[in-house]
Order: sequence, then C-alpha cells, then structure tokens
Amino acid sequence: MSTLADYIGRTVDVSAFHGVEATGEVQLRQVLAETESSGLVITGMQKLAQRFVLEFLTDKGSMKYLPARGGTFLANARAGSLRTEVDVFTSFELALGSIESALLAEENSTDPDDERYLFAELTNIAFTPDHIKLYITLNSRAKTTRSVILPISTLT
Amino acid sequence: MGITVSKLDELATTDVTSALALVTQLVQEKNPDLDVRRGVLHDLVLYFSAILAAAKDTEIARVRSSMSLKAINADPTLADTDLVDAVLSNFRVTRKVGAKATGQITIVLDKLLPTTIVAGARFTTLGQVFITERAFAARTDAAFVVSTDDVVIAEVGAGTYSFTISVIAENTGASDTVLRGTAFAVAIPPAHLSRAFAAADFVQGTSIETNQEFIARFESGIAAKTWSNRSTITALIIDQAQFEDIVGTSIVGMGDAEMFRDQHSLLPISYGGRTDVYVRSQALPLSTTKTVTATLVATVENGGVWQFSVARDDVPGFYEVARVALASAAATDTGYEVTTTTRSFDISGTGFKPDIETAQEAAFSSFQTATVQFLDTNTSTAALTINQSTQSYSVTFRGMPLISEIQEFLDSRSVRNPAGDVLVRGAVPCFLTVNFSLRKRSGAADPNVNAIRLAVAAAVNKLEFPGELHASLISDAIQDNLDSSVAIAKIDLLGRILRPDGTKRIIRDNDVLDIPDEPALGVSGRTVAFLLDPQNIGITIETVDAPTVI
Repeated sequence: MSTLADYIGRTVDVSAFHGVEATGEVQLRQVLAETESSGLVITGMQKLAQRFVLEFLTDKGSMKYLPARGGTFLANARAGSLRTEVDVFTSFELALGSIESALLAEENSTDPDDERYLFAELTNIAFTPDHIKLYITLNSRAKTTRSVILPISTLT
Repeated sequence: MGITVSKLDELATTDVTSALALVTQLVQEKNPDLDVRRGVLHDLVLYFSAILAAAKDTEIARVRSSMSLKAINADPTLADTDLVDAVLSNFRVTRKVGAKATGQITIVLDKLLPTTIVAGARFTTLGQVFITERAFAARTDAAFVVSTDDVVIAEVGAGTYSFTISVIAENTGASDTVLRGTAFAVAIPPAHLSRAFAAADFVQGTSIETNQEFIARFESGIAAKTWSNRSTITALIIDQAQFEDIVGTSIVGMGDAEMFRDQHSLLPISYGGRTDVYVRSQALPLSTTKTVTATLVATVENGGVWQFSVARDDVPGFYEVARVALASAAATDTGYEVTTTTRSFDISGTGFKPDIETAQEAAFSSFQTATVQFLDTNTSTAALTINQSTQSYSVTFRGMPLISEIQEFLDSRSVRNPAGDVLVRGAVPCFLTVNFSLRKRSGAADPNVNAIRLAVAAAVNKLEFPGELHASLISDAIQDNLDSSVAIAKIDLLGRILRPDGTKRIIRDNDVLDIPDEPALGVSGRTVAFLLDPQNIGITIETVDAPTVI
C-alpha cells in the first residue's frame, strides 16, 4: 500500500489498469475508473510499467499524427507469423528496439530512477490455442523490477 | 474547400505535433505533478486535444487565407466563397450571381385550333431544358383574346399555323447556345404540333462566378473608374449596370501596332490621342432580324441581284449577314446567298465623332455602314426594272451587341478623354469550328455529346482576347464530361477570321490556333476573339475493339 510520501517529488499518470498486485499472476482490468471507486493515479515503477505496456501494445502507425510511436509485435501476431518460440523472441526483440528508443527519448535525467527504463527481457512464453502469453521482466535504473504478463490474442 | 475541417484525418502532421507540443507544455506548466509524456494523460487527453486544437488552428488559417487578398490571389480555389464575397465587397466588387437564359419559342401547328401550353411545359434542345413560367392560351382569332397571357395563332402558309411563347431556362448558367431557328423537342406536345423552334436568338444565361473569375475581375473593381489606363477604362465601362456582363475588352492605343488612326497627318507618325476599344460584349454574336427594302441592281441567269443599304444606326457594328430571305418565307428557309458586303462609314451629324478615315477603321463600330448584295433565285425578274424595282426581305445580321451604347457612353462629355477620341468596335471575330473523336471501349456507354458541346463552347467563349487557342483547353473541357472508358482523339481546330477590311482568313491546326499577327489589317491577339457556337462542334464517336487481356 502506497503512502502520500511515495508521491512527493514525483509526477503521476492516471492508471489504465486496475487490480495490480505486487506479486503473483492476476488478471488486470483495463479501465480508467471503476463503478465502485474513482480512478487511480500511479507513479514510480508502476508508471514505468504502464508506459512500457502502452508503447508495446500500440500498433506502430495507428496514431496517425505520431507515426513513430508503438511497436511491430502486434502486427506480426495478427499476420500469423509467430508460430514458434524463436519467432516470438525474434519479433519481441525487433519491436523492443523502437520501444526502447521511444521510452528513453521521453525521459529526463532528473526523473526518479525507478521511473526510468533500463531494459526489458522476455523471460518465458506460453502458447495456448488462441493466445501467446508473454512473460516480460521490466528493469528500472533503480534496479527494481516488475513482471508483466501479456496475453496476446492470435485470433484475427 | 470549405472553412470547416470535416474530418480529423485531413490535418497536417506537423500541425498536430506542434499543437501537441504546445498543449503538453501548457498542461505541464499548469500541473507540474502530472506526467504528460506517455500514458493515459498523454494518449487519451493531450493527444486528442492537440488534434482538435490543430483542427481549429487549421480553420483559423483558412479563415485568414480567405480574408487575405494576398492569399486569395495566390489560390482563389482555397477561399470560402462567402468570405471572398465579403472581402471583395470592400472594393465595390460583387460576385455575378448568374442568370437563366430566356427566349421565345414558335410553336407550329398543322391545323388551326385553340391550343393551351401549360405553365411548366418543358422544351428541350441541345440537352438544355426550358420551361414556361405561365400558361399560354393560343387563340384562333384576335377577337377571342381575353387576357394578356393569350396569344393569337397566325397562318404561316402551306397549311401551317404558328404562335410564339416565352420560356426560361430551367437552370441558372451559361446558355449561349440557342440561336434563331434552333429546333426544340416538346415534352408533352400539343395536338397537331408540327414543330417548335427558337423564334429569335435567346438571351444568354450567365454562370455564377467562380472565385477565380471573381478575382480576375477584382482588378477592375479596385481600379478607379476613370479614363486613365487600360485597367481603369475597363473598370469605367463594366461599372455601368448595362455593361457589367461584358466578357472582355482590349484597348489599343498609341504605340500599338494595330493603331493607325493616330497617324492621320502628313507625316506617317503616331501623334497619340486615339483609342480603340475592342469589345466582346457577350459569348456569341447576337442575331438581329430586320425587314429591309432591297432594289434590283442586276439580273443574272438564275435570278436577280438585289441590293440594300445598312445605315450606321440600323445594326451598329454588325459582322455579317447571316440570312436574307423573302419577308414571307418560313423561318426555316435558309435564304439567299450574299454575294458582296461593301463596308463604309458615316460620321456625319452634330456632336463629337471619332477620327475615322477608312472603312477598315470603322469596321464593327457604330459608325460602320454597308451595302449588301445578294442573289434572289426565286423572284422572277422578267417584269422588273433594274435600279427601280424594290422588294421587302427579312435580313438577319450577326454582331456584338452594345457597341453603340458603349460608344455613346464613352463619348459623353463627362466621361470622354479630353485629350483624344475613342472608337468602340466589336472584337474581330474568329468563327470557330471544332471537330474531335471520342474513342470508347466496346460496350461502354455513349458520352453525353450535348453536355460536351456546351462545356467546350463555354470554355472557349469565356476567353477574352487570348491570342491563341490551345487544344488542351478543349480536351480539359471534354474530359470533365467523360468517364475513364472514353478517350479524346483527333482534335481539329478551324477558324475563320473576318478581317475589318472585309476579307477572310482561314486558320487551322490540331494543337494550337494562333491568331496571325496582321496589325495593318486590324488582326492580332489584341483584337481577335474566338467565337464557338456549340452547333459548330463536331463529335465523332468511335468504338475501339481492343483485344481482351483479362
């Protein structure tokens, strides 16, 4: 549970995913505000994770006036070209190049280290009949990590 | 393009990114605790705010462009018409709103019986529809007339009867095509209808002025309406309500190769003080029919040569005689051959008159006179006496209207250049014939040739004094009325220039029709206008049997 002190000297964003737990695998709810509660603001490592996820899940070219934003992973998944673990790793690494560039370009040296991107790695992959589940470990400059599990639908 | 941004996809990326940077900066300054670089706030709030802001900026830029004379001049097509109207009204220029063509149609019946033409009756020619604005009751005798809407049926001869009604074009726009005698199709023919045709040349309609045409006219709007230079003289003329629809003017003065009136002295040098205003007062010449008394001047093997005179005020500035027929002849009678037209001039009388010494100088002006001879092959001359026997004929002249009126206006003491004279002349005519082929794929629909004729004629007849006519202009006008399965080929441009000295010159080309430079004969790009009657446009439809590929 975060306290007010956790937010001092930091900038916040609105949380796009609710239900985040510090550990364990839980299903997040993609909402800005729920019926029982108001929206949440986030900062620190969770904000970095949200930046990463948003960038990763943005199809490159889908933001007409910001054509450089996003990655190519989703396009490859839709095209049906991710059939083996090697395919997924390759596609992830290719997408990561532009995502890292975007994340690093928008950071300032004065930002808290746990909000600054260091690297991300794809630690595991699970195939289901209609999904590819990506296990990504995100590392900040503060040496903190956050695991992100992304189920990517492969049905078009 | 309108002012309003109707789709958010039509914005420029640079505009949106600039707006995004500004919005982001403003929000960050106002709320330093927010992370506005990437995330929900950035992607859902700032990004779309920036798009909407860029849309508003774009609209503002368009408004500015529309209200800027510099921007309007640079690209009139981008400006909003209402705003252009508002801006140019500051310079006393108003857009021409267009008018419908009007005219009269003669209805010919093959039996004498009362006939009613209802209001809204439709008459079609060359793809244009004309309608009656009110009902007409045609009575068999003047004694039966009971209202001003009644007309009397007259006997034409050969068992036919006719009456004339007024019609107006269904649509506003250029409709300079209906000449006297043009046949009409009647949507709901009255009983015993024999035919319907134009009783006289129709009064031409005019199109709503485009931004480009409006801007082109703008210079004369801001110009002083005074006798000073070419722009102001033109502005002076078209500022008058009766002359505002003039297509174009060309002003020849001292130093121009076409000017000889300022050399009337012992020495063949220009002294200045003379101005010739060539006027294209409308798209096509106006036909004027008059009844004249001709005198038999000779007899030949196949008839008699008759002669009549045309005084300066009869048909001021006419180009040529289009038809001479017996006064009793049917309107469809093509008439007799004109053998000679000898022009002269008349500057007699009181009042200020321009300096004219030759018939060529006076040609197509209101001081022109003429003697016309023609060969009547019908009237027996056996019992007639040469130089004594006379007979009435119906004569149709063609010429630019308003020549006399403009001359009178420019000659008035309050307007006239105090340092010289002015002579108003109809533009030297180059009567055009245009032929081309339309090649369509086998099975493709036939193109609308009437619409094409109108479009081509309108494109040519809006030219003022261009000096040359390009086939590309014709192609462009045709293309607007074609689909992709039809192509244009074999454009042939043929022009007949009626020189002021009465001689003719034929010019012909497939690509560009150049007006010859003959200033001594009054012919040059400054004096000649291209005149294209839609009925002189020949269109050949060819079917292309290209082999099937797929």
